[in-house]
Amino acid sequence: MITARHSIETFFIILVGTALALFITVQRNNTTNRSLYSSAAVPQASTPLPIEAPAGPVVSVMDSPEGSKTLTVEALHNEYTVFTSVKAEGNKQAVFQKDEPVGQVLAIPYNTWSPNAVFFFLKEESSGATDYLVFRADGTSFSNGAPNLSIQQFFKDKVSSYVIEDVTGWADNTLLIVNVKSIEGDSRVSFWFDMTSQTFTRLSTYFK
Amino acid sequence: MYFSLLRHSMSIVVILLLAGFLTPFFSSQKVGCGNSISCKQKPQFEIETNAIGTYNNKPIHVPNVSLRENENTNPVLGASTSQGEKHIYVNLATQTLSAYEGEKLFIQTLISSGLWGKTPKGDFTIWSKFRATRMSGGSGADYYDLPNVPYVMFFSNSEVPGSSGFSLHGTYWHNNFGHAMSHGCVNMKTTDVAKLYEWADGPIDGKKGTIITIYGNQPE
Repeated sequence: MITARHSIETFFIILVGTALALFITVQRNNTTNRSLYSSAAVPQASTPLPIEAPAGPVVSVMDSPEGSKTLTVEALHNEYTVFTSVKAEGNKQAVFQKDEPVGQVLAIPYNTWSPNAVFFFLKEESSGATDYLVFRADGTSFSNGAPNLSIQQFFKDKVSSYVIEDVTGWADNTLLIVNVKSIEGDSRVSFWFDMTSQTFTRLSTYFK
Repeated sequence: MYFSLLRHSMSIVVILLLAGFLTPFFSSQKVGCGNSISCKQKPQFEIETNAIGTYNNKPIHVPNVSLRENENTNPVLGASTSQGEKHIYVNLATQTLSAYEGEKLFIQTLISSGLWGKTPKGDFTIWSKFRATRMSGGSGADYYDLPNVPYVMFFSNSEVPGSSGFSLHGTYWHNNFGHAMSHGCVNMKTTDVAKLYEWADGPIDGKKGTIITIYGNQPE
């Protein structure tokens, strides 16, 4: 004879079993919490940039990704000197020199070097604007005779309706990744700037 | 009658419990393949000279691997001066890697995790290290076939088998660290990963390799 009590007990057993199964499933799939079980503390991240600060000029350096070359920017009283060196040879190649206005800074991004160490780019910041300047590592000029290419200038000349937010790095040996947003600010897209053709290509992928 | 109903109910509970255990097992098999070569066969040390690879379906010059360069590196840290357990953390949210030996920070740097494929999260151990190997995968416009991928450290756990091919490794085809850029592996600047490779341990004498914890959510 099945009584109401028996029915309730049966229903309760099924309910508990289902809840237990769901709990186990959720816990085993929840990988985001796994680090909480680690014995060591999870470190806070920060963007590393090797900068040496001797008594004289402020010196910033960045090795090429494969380690064969070094980019050095020396800043002394707003006078910036940029040079590269091949580690195996130890010689310095002067690439660029500029007196920046007060408040304007020339910085080396972490991803400054092209993967094959043929090109590098610098970030020129002032209170009102940011530009990205691309250089040849051997110090030679580009086809237009200029010592560097201004990504901002090229972008303004060739692409409308968008403004540059960041140049993040190199997609390959000749393609710079340029993140932009619409002038209205409601959409973000990425472009490639091709060093060989000096053109922009809009991408379907946004490099966050 | 009651016992029959109870037996059926218990059967249902057992089935549900089994489903609870088995669902995550089967779902873990959905982890993609980080490197189609190692998904088909055991990875091996492999270098080529003056090779041409393919990245984003375009030819790319492949740097040669000089094995002599290792002769100039310092001895493996920790071999005789161990200061605690080695642990590598990969934060997908900030696209950074931090390696600790005990409380001491060994290296902290930017990485690139999965963009075209998902980087698995969880606690892993290094199960194999190779100075260089070949990697291949993707399809269509993002097809890649890359010889001489440097300083490869394959990692795995019970849910992500070694055959899935996920690893930390050097990168000669892009320089966009700090941003997702891989097919699921953890890409590192070659100069950074060279140091990590010398420092981290693979399995030794029955002891598992260095622990890798991958956590956080990539920016949407």
